[in-house]
Amino acid sequence: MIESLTVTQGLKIALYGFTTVFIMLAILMLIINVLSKLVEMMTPKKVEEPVKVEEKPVEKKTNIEYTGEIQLIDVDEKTAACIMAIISDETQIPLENLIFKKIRLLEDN
Amino acid sequence: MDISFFGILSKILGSSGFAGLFSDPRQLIMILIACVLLYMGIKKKYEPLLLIPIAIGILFCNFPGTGILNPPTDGSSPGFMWVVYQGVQHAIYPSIIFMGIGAMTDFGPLISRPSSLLLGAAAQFGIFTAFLLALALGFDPRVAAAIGVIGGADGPTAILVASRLAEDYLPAIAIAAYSYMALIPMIQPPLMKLITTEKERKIEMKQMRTVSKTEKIIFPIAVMIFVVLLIPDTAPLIGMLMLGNLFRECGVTDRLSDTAQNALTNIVTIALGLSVGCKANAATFLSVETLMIIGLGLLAFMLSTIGGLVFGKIMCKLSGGKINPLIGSAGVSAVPMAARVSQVEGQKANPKNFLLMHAMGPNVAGVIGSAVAAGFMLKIFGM
Repeated sequence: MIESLTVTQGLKIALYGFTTVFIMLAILMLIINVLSKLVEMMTPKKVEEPVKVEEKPVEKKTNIEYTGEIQLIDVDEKTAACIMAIISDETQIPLENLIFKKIRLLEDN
Repeated sequence: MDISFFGILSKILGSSGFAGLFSDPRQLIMILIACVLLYMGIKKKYEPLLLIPIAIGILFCNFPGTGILNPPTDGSSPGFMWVVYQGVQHAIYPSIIFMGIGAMTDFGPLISRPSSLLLGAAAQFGIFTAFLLALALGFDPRVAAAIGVIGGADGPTAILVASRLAEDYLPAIAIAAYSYMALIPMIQPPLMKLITTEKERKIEMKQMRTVSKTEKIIFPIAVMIFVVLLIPDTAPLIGMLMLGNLFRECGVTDRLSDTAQNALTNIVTIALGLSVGCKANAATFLSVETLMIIGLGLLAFMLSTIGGLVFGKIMCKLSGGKINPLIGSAGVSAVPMAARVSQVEGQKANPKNFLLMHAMGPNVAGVIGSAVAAGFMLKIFGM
């Protein structure tokens, strides 16, 4: 057990420790990269069939005119930002391709 | 036998805790400190799930005459808190909490961008610099190592290391670690503004790729095998973290995942908080060392944030400006608070910025990084 250390010895341990953490996580990074590649190689690629989409006239359910800005009703900007980020992530649609018109807090009743 | 009302009353008062308080008034100060912690937890909502049990633990151990922490002796039962404390003594509670964290954590953002791991490593800078500073201030090397781990911003890890290396300082270290985790929204933003430029903060990051279910299942198994084989001392933390994550991702253990995330973690959080609090007796807690630990803990936290941000800037340069350095500060492992701070600060600079998912990568990498750093400290000083 190490009972006492000089600052110089401590500096060495700190350097070795920090380097160890870096090396460990760098190796983990490589492992994850390799595993991802392997999984990608082993996963059979889906042949995408063209999907027929019936075009339906879009019904206007709201009379709010879209002005290019999001309407926030009883929602602060921080919460709205989180909601938009989550929707983008879950749907895998980049944010620049999504248009949010209105975010409104729904009351319990 | 003379039986009188005042005689009985005098006996009751003579053997009461009130009489005991006069023999050592420092216990009264500890009771006041517990009340302050209760105020911070209930009114200010600073990590209430931990601070409230810790505060009650402090009250328990500073009420005179309870014998609540007494070890078992011949013919007498151990005190209630002595039994509960064995879970900290033998590193059971922090490991179970880590299993809960694993069950709650989606490692998808990290698998999607593995370079996030480097940000998680850089944000452990504070652990080693604070260790060095504690050593320079005259702390025993084992205590210095435990103090340094506060910089990992990871409560269970700090408690595990302190319980093994610096048991007397466990309450101060745990309280410092959890308090600073709660204060992240105040500690990090000034450093983020100081280290990054307005132009860097405005950088919008590209959408991450989708991670397959297979990758998410293989990840905890691979990490567990690699890290625990290399540093066996990380087994309780990394092993349980990855077990919890496997429960979450494998798809056949939903009930176990639910228990690990909710009921079990909640039960253990109560026991952990009480155990930490009950070690805060006046003799060890009311000392200059406690103030030094609180100061060093703050410094460790700030240095870890700086480490993450500086490496974030390096990655920003190397990627040709594709990585917003603000996600570097999320490398401290306070999940998900640190990632939220990156999101908020990024959006202040550019309202179209959505850094939350990008910051979750370094954030969960920080959990692994701090566990590895803790394993290193235990390996060196825990022999």
